[in-house]
Amino acid sequence: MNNLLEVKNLSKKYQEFSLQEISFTLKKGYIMGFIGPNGAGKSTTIKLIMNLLKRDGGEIRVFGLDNIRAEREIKDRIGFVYEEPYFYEELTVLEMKKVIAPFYSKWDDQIFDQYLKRFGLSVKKKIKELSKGMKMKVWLAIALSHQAELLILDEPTSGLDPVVRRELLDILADVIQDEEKGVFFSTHITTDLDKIADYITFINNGEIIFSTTKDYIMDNYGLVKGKKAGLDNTLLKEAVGLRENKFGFEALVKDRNRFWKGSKGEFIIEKPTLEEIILYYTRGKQG
Amino acid sequence: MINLILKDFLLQKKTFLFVLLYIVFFMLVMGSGGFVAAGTAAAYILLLNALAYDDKNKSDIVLNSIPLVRNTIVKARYLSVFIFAGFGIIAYWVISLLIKLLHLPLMIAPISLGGIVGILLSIILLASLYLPLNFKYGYIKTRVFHVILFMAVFWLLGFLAKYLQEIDPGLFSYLSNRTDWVIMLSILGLVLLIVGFSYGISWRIYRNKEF
Repeated sequence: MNNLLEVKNLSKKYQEFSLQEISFTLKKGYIMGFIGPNGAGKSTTIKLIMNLLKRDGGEIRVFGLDNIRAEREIKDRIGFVYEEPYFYEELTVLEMKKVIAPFYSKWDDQIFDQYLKRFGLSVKKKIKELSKGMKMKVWLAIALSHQAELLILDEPTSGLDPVVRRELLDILADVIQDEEKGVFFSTHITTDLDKIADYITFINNGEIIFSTTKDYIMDNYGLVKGKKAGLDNTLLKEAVGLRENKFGFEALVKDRNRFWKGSKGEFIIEKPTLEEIILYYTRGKQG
Repeated sequence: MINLILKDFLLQKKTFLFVLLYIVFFMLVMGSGGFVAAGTAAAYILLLNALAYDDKNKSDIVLNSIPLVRNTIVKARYLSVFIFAGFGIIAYWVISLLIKLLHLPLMIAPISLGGIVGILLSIILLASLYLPLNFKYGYIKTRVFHVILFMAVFWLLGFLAKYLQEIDPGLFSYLSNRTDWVIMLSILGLVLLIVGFSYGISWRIYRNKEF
């Protein structure tokens, strides 16, 4: 079984928002970035995977097993880091470990101690006395100490300084080295993913816009820049997002190679960043 | 499951000191009813405080992300009620022992089997009424019930005692003629029925809860 995580036609309806039959797959040995603006459905998807929310339709398989029927076995093999909450803030790191560790069948105290040492964390400190970055590291240490095969991280870098963020990214890159594990990483700080993600799944307004390799995105998507006069119907049809000002326009296209051949106007085509892709998709074709 | 109860104890290290003070207070103020009042209050305070920590830390999100089934969380919470009651009774025993050893001139209610049954009956009634509400709405939204339930349960138990002695003396004398064991077993059966019913409701609520 090569798939660590398979989400098929997953749906969840709320009054104001719904997750619309989303599908994506994460294979062993890869890091998948899960990106999208706030409120797009990232946390809802992660909560559905963790069975914190009940799905209305579709299927979630982790390690090939249904996430509800095999909930306990799956969670034994998942490591998670959430932006918050952090469990009981009044407990010390050691007390927290004492409460949580026995639930995991493959818990390894030595690995936990090694990570605490590496992160410079004291077991005697209460969680509420730790900085945001330190709290994230405690959870990361827990996630890495029970031989988890799938790491699920929900906005773990939000509000962290660049040094701590980089440290986390280095560890994640390390984790997947043995090609048996995988990382599913939701974030709106897309520069994190430029460095480490193999796959990008982009969700907007409850819909998956794309779920593909980062290389494919970087090789195909294009940011077209030109004077207003060059904005013809071909380009308007091709563009998934458009921004105009009094000097010219910028448009995001899915296939910059195809577009380049067919157009007659004078344009510059650049590789967009993930952030620009989110921005253009979210704004659409407004002026 | 034991770890979940261990967590309640680790969180409430400081609360235990306050609970000891409460016990002394009830011992001194409540006279002959001191034992039942102190034991019940101790267990109730510890239970409510544990639930407050759960609510404040949104612990359901993490608890339901580790390898635990939801049923265990509900079971652990019901089991903790008995352990909190046990703590109340043991603490009362230790304090009364100290009072004796120090020859303090205080009149306190003695520990009795009837008293222990009274404490268990009261705290089980309280927990059985309150826990389904807590599982449904959380601690903060149900704060108003904390005192109301406490008063209501004592009123109910007082009313039952009065009913048996004054209003329905026939039933009272019928019960008085039963052996202690028959009465104890009847109470135990009643308690198990109440807890079972309450647990069933809590489990149904928690099983379908979204976080």
